[in-house]
Amino acid sequence: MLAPLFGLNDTFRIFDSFERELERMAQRRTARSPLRSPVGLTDEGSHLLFWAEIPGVADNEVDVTIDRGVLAVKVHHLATAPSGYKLVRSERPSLRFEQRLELPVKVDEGAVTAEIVDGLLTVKLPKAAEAAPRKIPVRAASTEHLS
Amino acid sequence: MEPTTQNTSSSPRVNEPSKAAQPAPLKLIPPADVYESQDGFLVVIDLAGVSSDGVSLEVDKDMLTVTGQRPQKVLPAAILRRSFALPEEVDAERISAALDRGVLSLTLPRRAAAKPRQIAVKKLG
Repeated sequence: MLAPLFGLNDTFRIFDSFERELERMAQRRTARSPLRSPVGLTDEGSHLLFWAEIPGVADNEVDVTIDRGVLAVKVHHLATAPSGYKLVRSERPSLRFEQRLELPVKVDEGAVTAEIVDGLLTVKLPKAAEAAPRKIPVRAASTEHLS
Repeated sequence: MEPTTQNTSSSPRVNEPSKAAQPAPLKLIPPADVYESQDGFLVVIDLAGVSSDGVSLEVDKDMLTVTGQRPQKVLPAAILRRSFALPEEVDAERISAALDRGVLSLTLPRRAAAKPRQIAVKKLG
């Protein structure tokens, strides 16, 4: 069975001279690919949550800054081939990028925290008091007014 | 050296709260790099959000299957699965794996007999 050229099937042969040539082609195609790591922003009610998949990245390879409503996340990971090995197939995206996001609500910039767990960066951005959800008390009204 | 890419977005997409629903886990195919040396192969797989107790390895005949279970937290729950057809020269009994910062490294050693052997050339006369 011949696996497709690249990424279409979850199975591939590591060692096959014909596919080795295909892999070389794929590698040339993707080695400088501008693929970025998946990132996202969710609204969690009391805070916003920014996340980025950055597997293999150490905490000193990430800069997170926030300034006047703009969150900037810079990842500068240097991927190095392990010594004695040569690369024969390359699919993993480059982890050198900068993402700047203008935040949709005002956040308490002094209370922003960031952490990396299992290759997942999360930045928790608590909303400023005026932007946080506010509970509105519901008053019981007499039915006369509704009829 | 690759240039740093820069993306500026003035209106980021804001998703619904991630805890809103519990759909079936996503099925994802994680990207992998493959390295080769005289001693064997090294397969490096991105498994962001997967902890070491969520990774399993299975060898069935010549197929090596890696499965990572990502629990629902920041990212939706997912099963990340990748299969590799092992070359005959790999010693499946000696495959080892290590997970560090969401990256799984699989070491696939060659059988001793499969390693390239240096043959001395005798000088005649």
